[in-house]
Amino acid sequence: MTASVGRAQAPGATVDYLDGWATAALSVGLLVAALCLVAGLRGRPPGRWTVGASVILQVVLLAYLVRYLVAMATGSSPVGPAWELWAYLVTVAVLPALGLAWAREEHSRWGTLVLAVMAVVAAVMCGRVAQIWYGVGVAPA
Amino acid sequence: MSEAKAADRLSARTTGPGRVILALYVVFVIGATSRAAAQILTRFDAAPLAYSLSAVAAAIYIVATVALAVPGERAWRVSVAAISVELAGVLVVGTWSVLRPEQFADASVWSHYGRGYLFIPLVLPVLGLWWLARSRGPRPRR
Repeated sequence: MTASVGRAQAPGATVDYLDGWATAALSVGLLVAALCLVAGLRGRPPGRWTVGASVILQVVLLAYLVRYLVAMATGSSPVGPAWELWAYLVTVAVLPALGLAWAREEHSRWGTLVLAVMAVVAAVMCGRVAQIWYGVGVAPA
Repeated sequence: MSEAKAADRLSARTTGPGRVILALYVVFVIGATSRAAAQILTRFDAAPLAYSLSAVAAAIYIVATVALAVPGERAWRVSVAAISVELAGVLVVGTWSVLRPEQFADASVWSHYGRGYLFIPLVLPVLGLWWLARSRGPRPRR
């Protein structure tokens, strides 16, 4: 995963594995993370906005998973290993739910920050899924 | 009444900042375990040292996470030990991979101080030890 954030690429080079779907999932994840981070730093417990945003992220991530399900059902296949792709996708799809379950029990700023952590991790993992799909930074077979 | 009792039984370590730290540990258990299992099952010969170290890292993350989640003094001591080993592991493996890159044909979780994981493996044990030092004691603190 050393090249997970495109570190190996020259400055200004296009990150061409980020297609529309990956860009959408990554952006929503980072936006939700930023929202929860700000709310958490301001001392807010999980509330309407942060919980709502996490629910939206959950829906987006499920759509992201379905996108790959459809792609593979219609004959496409990832350049990287398929099992690795699915390991990431399944993990990604449960992260916001896990965070929300935990945030329910922790009614303080820390509950909100858990939501932020889960959103960041989900965003990064969505990027990694796209890398595996297009074969970027995949270990030699 | 029963709620207060349950809160007493709940580890002081899993409330407040501890919950965020535990969430990060859970993520690393998932990440390190699946990575190590995948590397070892599919291409162990490609980089035996790096992959064995990934497995060691995964095992230490599992012990640390369980010990953080379990209440009580003994679990506290286990978590301090596991997280100290984790910190030493990141530093040793990180330095090793910088000095002898040829022995790391593929990355392990801790190679280059966890660069592939945004250096979180380097920060996490420090956070963990800080939190354990703060949360010691029978009474949960806010």
